[in-house]
Amino acid sequence: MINKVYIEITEHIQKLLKENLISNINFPYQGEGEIKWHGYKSIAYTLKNQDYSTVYNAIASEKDYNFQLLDGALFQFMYRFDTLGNITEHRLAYYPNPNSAQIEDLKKYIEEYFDGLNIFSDIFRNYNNIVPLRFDFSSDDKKFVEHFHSYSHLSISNNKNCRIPIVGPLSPGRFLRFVFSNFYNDLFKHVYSSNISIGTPMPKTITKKESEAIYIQC
Amino acid sequence: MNEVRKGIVNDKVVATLDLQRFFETNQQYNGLIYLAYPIIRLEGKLKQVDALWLSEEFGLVIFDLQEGTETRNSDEIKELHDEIYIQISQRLIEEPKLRKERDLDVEIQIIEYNPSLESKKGLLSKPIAGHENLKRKIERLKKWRSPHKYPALVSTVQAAIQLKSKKKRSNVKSSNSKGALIKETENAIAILDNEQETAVISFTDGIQRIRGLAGSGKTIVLAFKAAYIHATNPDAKIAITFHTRSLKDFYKNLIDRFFRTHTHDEPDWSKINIIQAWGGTKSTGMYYEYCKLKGVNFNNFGDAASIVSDPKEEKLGQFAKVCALALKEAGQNSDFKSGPYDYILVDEAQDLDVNFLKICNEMLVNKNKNLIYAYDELQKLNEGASLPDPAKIFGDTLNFDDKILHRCYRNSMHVLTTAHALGFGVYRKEGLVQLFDDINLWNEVGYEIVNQEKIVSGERAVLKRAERNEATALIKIEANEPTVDFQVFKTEALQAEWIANQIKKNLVEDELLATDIMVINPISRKSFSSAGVLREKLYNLGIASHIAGAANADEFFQENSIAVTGINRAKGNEASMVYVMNINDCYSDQSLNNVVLRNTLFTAMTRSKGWVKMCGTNDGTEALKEEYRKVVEENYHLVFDEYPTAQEIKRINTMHRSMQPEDIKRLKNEERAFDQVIGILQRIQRGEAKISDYPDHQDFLLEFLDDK
Repeated sequence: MINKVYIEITEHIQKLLKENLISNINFPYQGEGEIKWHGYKSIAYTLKNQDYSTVYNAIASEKDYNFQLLDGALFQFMYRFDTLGNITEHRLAYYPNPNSAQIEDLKKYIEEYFDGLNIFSDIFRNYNNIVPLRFDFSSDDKKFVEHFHSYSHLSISNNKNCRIPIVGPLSPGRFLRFVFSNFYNDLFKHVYSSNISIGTPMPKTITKKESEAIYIQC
Repeated sequence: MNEVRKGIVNDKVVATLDLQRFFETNQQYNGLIYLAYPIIRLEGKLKQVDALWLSEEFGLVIFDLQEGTETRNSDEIKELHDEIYIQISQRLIEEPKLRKERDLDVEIQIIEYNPSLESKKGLLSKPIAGHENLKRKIERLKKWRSPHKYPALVSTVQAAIQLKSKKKRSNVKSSNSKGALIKETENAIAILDNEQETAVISFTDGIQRIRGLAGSGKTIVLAFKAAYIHATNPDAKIAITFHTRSLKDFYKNLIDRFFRTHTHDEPDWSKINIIQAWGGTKSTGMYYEYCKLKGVNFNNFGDAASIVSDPKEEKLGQFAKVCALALKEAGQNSDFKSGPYDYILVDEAQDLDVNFLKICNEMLVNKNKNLIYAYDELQKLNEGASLPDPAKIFGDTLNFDDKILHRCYRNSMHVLTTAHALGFGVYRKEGLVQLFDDINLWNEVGYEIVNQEKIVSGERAVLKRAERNEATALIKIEANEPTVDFQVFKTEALQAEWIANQIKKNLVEDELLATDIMVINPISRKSFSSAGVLREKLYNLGIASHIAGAANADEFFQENSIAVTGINRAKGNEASMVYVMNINDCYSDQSLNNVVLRNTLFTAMTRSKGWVKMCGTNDGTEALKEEYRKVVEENYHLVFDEYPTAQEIKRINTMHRSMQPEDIKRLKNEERAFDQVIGILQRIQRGEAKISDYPDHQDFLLEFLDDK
């Protein structure tokens, strides 16, 4: 599975690069059962108690991500696998750009390039779209607490206690589809024609009880 | 031969003039003579050295000038001379090239000179009086035993020794790779030439205009000038403003270094404001400050698009529009608030517009006083489009000083001549696209006519870049590989592939750094996707790339990542290896908008301080390559079989003038409409249709066809 996931990440990056939607990239890294990126520094973890602006600016300036979109949003893909090739952990993060002044700048830059194509219209419509998202997965039973810390959950807005249960770990494709279709709709339509493949199949980890409350299905 | 460079002479004016005349009439004395320059710290205060002579033969000779007949206390004199000697040697000893082990290896001598005293016979009597005695004194000066260190001496005194930014090039292993050559160029001693230094230290009380080609060193001149003003005038409030944001750090750095070298002290940054032109709430700018000062509405880029400009005015760019509006609004306010600045220096004025200059003028404590602006003479290739004379901008100008920097230090002669040839369309199949409306500009921009005395309309004119305007450092670069190269590709994919592979070669075999490379897409809107294809290919080769200025507007280059950019961000930046993609987008056999297309090509090419690869697909690229071939055939001369008359030039410039995309569209639609109308008229004339078929336009048709 590790190879499939690695290739999936690479393919998505290549696609976005080809459309020239990426400002900065780091090459993904695969080794010792892990997938992350070259130059990985784990800054988000170090700064997890700081306010969002601080976290974002630190990650951006240290280039501690897989890629940065033209609007400044940062994307991180981290996966861990056991020796049998099963997925044991993942951390998929989307850090939007909180610097409104910078976004103003980028608007004119992107206008020059995209000639009316409103690829980032969602961001530029001043929606104050600074909602970081993090999809965490851990198969570790010691961490599992039914309902409150399900195996796979979504954290919104860097809130420690926000853990929305998800049916199971996500493939890179599913993650990107979620972010793009909900926050970058024009980009989604233009680049992906409203369709991103499901990607590498993942196990289902939601418990029966958890599935009786609100959770996110794929 | 000697050169005299004069600073602001506030003191001992007569003696200084006398010394100046001495050197000007005695050209057997070689070297550089500075008057009222440089600045040193004496008794805790900043003072100008009366006069300084840099000579290969004698080293550094300081002149202590006196006027009048008062004699000074000999102890005082000794103290003063000791102090000056120590200050100067301290400055010099900081430069390793001027040392021999731990000692200063420069001869420093001091001559006291007073032209108002009667010449005494004895030479040893001080001070020296009169030219004859001065000559004899000079003959007796000690000879400098390390004359080969003269360039380093000049550079150190100018504080220009650190001018070239040196990147760590630990990757360079071979001795003749491109990387090695660039390393050598960066390590070469930088010296301000006469024109540059004069522009720095000369002064008027009013408006100063500094013009030159891109790459003639205007930004450096402005930075030095700001530091110099601050050093001579520590209480003055100074502002430097510019278009390209990444210049901010550059300026801060340079001003800091230059100031420290002269004064061994930190600049007082509360007196120096380095701000971009536009600005906004998060980071200030000159226009923003103006709006605040005058209490008028501030518009950012987004707002600018919706402003309707006065239809009587020419179509203005966004920035020009907001400036014009602000000026108008401020003009309507009854109470006039004068600006906070004693001096304002403006860089890249050609990108900032006349109205912005007016705004800067109003930001001065005293209007028309101490406004210095620099611009590229040829970012816009015909004078009508670039900035008009100061008289036209500011109305009655007192004291307007004009400085021109003729030498281009960035581009090789081959790159520059080709860029001009393409920019004007000298060898274009369909003819010229634009030309100077002022013949004198050729000279100002470094060309001279070689086939006759001067350019005459209707006659053959052959122009070539004057030898004296060439920077010798670039010769080796040309020898390594021709600095200009045109590549035609069948498809965009092939273009991207070739460039990606070339870049890989640049990084590996050529030992260049990623920050030495720039990829430009001249007409971004059309070719943005090709840039994407290229970036993907680079990625597959393990090479990262970024869109210049996107992640951080103040940074153009990034370590270990290739800068990919459109033409607007590229301005103000330079790279040793420049790839220009899709040049066919800049070729048109039509007339409309050609000026913009050709100017873009010119700007793109002149970004290169080494090599430039012009790439593209289809016939457009072939046509441009053919124009280049003709340049080579003519041995880098610009040949006009019949130099056009002023009227013809006007016609050409109008025909190809820049147009807004909406207008181009509209005109194209109108052309089609015309075709239809002509079709109708022809059918009526052939009898295939009748006038009565068009009752709405019967009257018109009757009249029109009647006149035929």
